[in-house]
Amino acid sequence: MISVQNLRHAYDGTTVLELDQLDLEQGGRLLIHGLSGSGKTTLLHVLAGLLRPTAGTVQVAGEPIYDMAEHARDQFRGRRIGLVFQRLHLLPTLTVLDNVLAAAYAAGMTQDGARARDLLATVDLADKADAYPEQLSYGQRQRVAIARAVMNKPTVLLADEPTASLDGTRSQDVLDLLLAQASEHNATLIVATHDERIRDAFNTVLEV
Amino acid sequence: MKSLPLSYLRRRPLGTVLNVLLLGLGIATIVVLLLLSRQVEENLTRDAEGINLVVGAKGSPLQLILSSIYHVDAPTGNIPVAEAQQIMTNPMVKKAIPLALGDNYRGYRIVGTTAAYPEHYGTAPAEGRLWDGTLEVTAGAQVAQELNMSIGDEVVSSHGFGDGDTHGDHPMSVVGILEPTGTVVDRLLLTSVETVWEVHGAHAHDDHEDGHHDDEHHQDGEHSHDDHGDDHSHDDDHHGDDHDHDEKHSHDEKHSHDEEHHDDHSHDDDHHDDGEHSHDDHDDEPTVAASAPPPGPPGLQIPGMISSEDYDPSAEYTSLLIEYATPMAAATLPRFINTQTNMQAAAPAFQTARLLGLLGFGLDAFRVFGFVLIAVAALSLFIGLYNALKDRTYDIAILRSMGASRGKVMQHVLTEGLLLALGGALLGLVIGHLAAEGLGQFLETAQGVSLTGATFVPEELLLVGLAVVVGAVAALLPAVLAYRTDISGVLARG
Repeated sequence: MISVQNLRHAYDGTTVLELDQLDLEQGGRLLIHGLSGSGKTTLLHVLAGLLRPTAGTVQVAGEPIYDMAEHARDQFRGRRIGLVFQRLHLLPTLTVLDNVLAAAYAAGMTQDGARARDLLATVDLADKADAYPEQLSYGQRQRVAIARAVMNKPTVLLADEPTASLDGTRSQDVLDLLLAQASEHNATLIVATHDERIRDAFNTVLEV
Repeated sequence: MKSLPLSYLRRRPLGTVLNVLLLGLGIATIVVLLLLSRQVEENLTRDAEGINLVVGAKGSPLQLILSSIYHVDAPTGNIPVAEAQQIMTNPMVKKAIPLALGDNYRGYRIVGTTAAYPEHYGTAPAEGRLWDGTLEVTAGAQVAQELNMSIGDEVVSSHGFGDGDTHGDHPMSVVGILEPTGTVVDRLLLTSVETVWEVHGAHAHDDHEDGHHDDEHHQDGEHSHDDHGDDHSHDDDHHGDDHDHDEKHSHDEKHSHDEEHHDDHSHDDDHHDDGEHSHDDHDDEPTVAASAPPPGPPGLQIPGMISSEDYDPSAEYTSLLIEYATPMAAATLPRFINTQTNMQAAAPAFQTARLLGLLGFGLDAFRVFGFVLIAVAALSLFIGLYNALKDRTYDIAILRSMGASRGKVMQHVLTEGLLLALGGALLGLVIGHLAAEGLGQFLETAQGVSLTGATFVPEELLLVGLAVVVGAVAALLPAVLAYRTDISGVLARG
């Protein structure tokens, strides 16, 4: 359950984001659609608790996240929100398995190796557990990033341009994976994209 | 999940090795200094323990201490037994150990002394016994070990402290081997004073037969009669006319004895020259004495104490090691000896402190070098961490996005710096101890100084502390940058 009111964000006095109202029930699917520089990444960061907006309130899972202390917000994000970025940002010095476990580590949760391996099996990378990110293809790394994002069973799954660099088939695979993982954990899925191909999979589309 | 800081260090092995090595070398330099200076100080103190004063011929007080306690430098000369006995019987003296130096056996010095000497250093024969008659020696533990000596072995001493002439006609036999003490005694061969006199007397005659060893004699501070020339001119300076007669008397005695001695040999030209020289001094002296008034009260020295009948007038000690009977002696005895006799008194504690002060100057230079290395290591550590951090802002943003707090990412960077610092400290301690041991073994064979790397000083813990501080300081700015990372900005730039 996500609720946003009178949201406004400005960089150096220039307003880049304005959103009067947004409500999304638990398990909902939202597509944030817009061109590059339209503020969709900014909105995603605000929803993830990464960027305090200039004005407005943001509630995630019933919690007004910007009323929390920063430390508490970090922890909330770690445990309740899964993030997938366009640039995948796997930690290069850690193995694929450790990259998935890093989500639990960063959130201060128990590092459940069995769950991490199960997730890797789900994204079809069971045999790559001990490989390093640089040994994987882009598509494989994206699947690791998704596994990592759902490691802590988040209530909200946020993805920024997850399909931008992929051709049609692969784009659909990634979308299916995100939808499947969100369904499995009954997570709210929010995807920010300029990619028209995946629009149909979402019941709500927000144009920015 | 493996440790992130460790994984980053492994990621750039060259930089890690360089930083650890730099810091390690800096720490090692200081460790070596600490270990060696501490041991040198301990050795110097241990060897001089219980010896309040050394009395010997006039000259450099440091040289007197070095030659009589540590057995390194050449002696300053010799002192007549009669004058020495005057000090030995002084009520302020609790214990006085006479030493007669002058020869060595394969680089190890032969010391003519009494049983009080090994006793002073708390050692006794581990095998055999102490010397008894003349031409018997008891070997220090290290000498015996290094030269593979056993009881009954013959020792042919060499003149002086290098490879001098050998006293082939006076072989000594080893009658005992002392227990090791960790002091200078371990590196000495002990015998009676009389043995040194006997071997030496013979040597002096040999010298005169050859007629060309006098110079070497002088340099080595041997039992040379020239010393008397100097001593007596000193006396005249101090005491003027009052004692001239007595001293001339004993001097004459001495010379008559020498001449008898030399008559047997019939080639005493050199010696006569020496004797005449000192006599000339006496003749010339009154004018000098008149122009320079005597500094001390003339009545203090008791002329009767120098009794020419009681001892062989050619016999001399090199020095006396003295323990005071009362702390009061420290105030009066050295001054008395220095101003009222031909001899000088030097306090080991003072001279050792002076020596350490001189050494300290050189050590300071090394210490500065060590700290410069550590400073460079700190800079290198900082640059390494700072550059690494720039490559890692995305990693930090990702960790933050996954729930890591600012404190946690800061802690990662600090941990990395501390791991490097501890690695450097550990390496430094290992290198330092190995180097000290290597240097110790080199010095042991070259100088007979025993130093080891297998010992620890508490200051090493301070060095580990210093390394930790260096690591923390070097990591501080990068850690603060990690703390301040603008996650959203970094991720958005993606």
